[in-house]
Amino acid sequence: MAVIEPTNTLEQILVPYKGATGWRGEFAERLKRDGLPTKRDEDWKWSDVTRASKGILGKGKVQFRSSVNPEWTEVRRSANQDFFSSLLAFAATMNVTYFEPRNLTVLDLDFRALRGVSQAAATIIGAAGQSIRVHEHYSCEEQAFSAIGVDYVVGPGASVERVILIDECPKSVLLLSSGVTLHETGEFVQTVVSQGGKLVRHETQLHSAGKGAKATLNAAYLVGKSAQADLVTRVNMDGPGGELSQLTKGIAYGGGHGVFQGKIHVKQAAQKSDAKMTHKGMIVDEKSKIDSKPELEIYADDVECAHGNAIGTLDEMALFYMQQRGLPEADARRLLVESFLDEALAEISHEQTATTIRALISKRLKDLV
Amino acid sequence: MLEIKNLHASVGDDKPILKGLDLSVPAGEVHAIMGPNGSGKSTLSYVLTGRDGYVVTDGTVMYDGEDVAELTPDARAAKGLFLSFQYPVEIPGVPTLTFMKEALNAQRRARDEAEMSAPDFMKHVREKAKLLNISSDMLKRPLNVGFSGGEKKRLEILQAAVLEPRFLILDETDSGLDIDALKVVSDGVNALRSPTRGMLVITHYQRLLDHIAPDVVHVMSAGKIVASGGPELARELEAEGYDKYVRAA
Repeated sequence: MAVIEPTNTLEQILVPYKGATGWRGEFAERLKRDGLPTKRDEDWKWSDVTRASKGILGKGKVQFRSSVNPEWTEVRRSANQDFFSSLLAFAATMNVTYFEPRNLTVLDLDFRALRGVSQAAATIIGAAGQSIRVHEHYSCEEQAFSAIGVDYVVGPGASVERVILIDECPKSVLLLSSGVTLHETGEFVQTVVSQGGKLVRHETQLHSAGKGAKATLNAAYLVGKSAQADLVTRVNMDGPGGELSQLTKGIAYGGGHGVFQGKIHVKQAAQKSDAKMTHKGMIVDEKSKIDSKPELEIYADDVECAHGNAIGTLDEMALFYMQQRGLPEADARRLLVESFLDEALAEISHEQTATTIRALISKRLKDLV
Repeated sequence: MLEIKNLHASVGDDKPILKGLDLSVPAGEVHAIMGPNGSGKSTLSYVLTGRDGYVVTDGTVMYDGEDVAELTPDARAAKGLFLSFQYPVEIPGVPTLTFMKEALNAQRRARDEAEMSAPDFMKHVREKAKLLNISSDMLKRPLNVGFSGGEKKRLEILQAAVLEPRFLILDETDSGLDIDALKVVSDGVNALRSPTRGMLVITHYQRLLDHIAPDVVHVMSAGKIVASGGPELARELEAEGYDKYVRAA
């Protein structure tokens, strides 16, 4: 006799959130109250988690390795500890303490979601005056439903660069979230490259204290063959004189679906904030789509805030121009799309990382036509 | 070299623009086409180079004895057909030099020739760039992005010099050029004149033809050639306008 198992019970999802504080705690509370987000939830209207995760069953795992500890390790989080002891437990698993990575300027983190339902979390702290660069890589087995949170605290005068590469997860759901606390005079530069999946969502919630704090949130998404990639940002300008620069570029082809939801909330105290958010999407064929919703919520009167949003198709004239010079159509298309996305990769400071990502995008785009 | 007979072509599904055009340009000659706005000059350049949506409905386009009307734009380019665009397209993110190298080697691959190595390519480009007053800094910038009108046109001619096509179509290469830039561009074009290369110069004005002396001047009106003559025809048009040809068509 067949056994009917419940799908993705909330208990299963909520276990690692026990004792969580901050926005993740709030998220857990909301999850308990409302269940998994549905399309009726404005923040999730294009990310249909319930539907995408249907049929993904059982207890999963998140494997982890880093440049400090290159062996795959299972991420463990203790459910009955408070946030910081959980963090310590996690740091211990990784065999490194991330509170003060004084002699660690580059960190590679590799997360892999195995089949089933799983969660993991980590916090990385750039202490005052430090400069660190973190590369995060995410991949999935088939039939995985995983929520992974990586939080950052960027201290005064600290500088954190974060590059996130998300592999394609064709049969899996990956919900990645980040809380970023940016202190005065701190600098945070993030570049996300997402290749989508059954549903792959990357969400960044950033609080900027202003007073010289600078944040850059760039992202590139490329989705094909029924994949979906959602890029979500929620930026709170809390204090005066903060800067934010945001650029998201993406392409959808072969039935892919791209989503950008960005919100900048400028508090009344955040006078002299300078924030700009741009999203540019390119839909290559009629089967594909891109949804976007950029929002500004401004409660201060002396600010420079702007947002731009443009969705277009491949420039036929540019395509013809390149072909006229001898490039076959497929090469011309690939080059056009690569050059379109390239702008979003401009802030990756490490040349080799940028080259690797460009090569990966180029390879990925071979099936564009 | 280029033999066009009774060419009819439409843009999109049902908008006939070329209506029975005949034109023959032998190798080594430069022919100019002049004509009023809307006579089909740019359409002819797109039809010859195979732009999508420009459909040949009747007639033939023979290039070197081969009907090229069914070939893709890149296949025609590899056979040596080059169009200098009236409005060169900006392509952000692609450095000019990279683009030219990709284009040249794509054409060479299509012709089963060996690709040009990076050092050879650099030497090849430098020689040509010098003639057209194009700095190496300009070549590193993204293709046509932020270039002035004159710079874009100089770059078109540089691409022609680098790709060494066998037949050039210059679509209003003089538009947007000041007197000095016109001279530089014309010198670049004249340097490309050769007994084995044909050229079709599309223009509104006589002034370009003062620099690039054509062997034959054609007048185009309502989608066909309505008159042909020597360089004096261009001067006559400059003095008297297109009116009598428009009415005759």
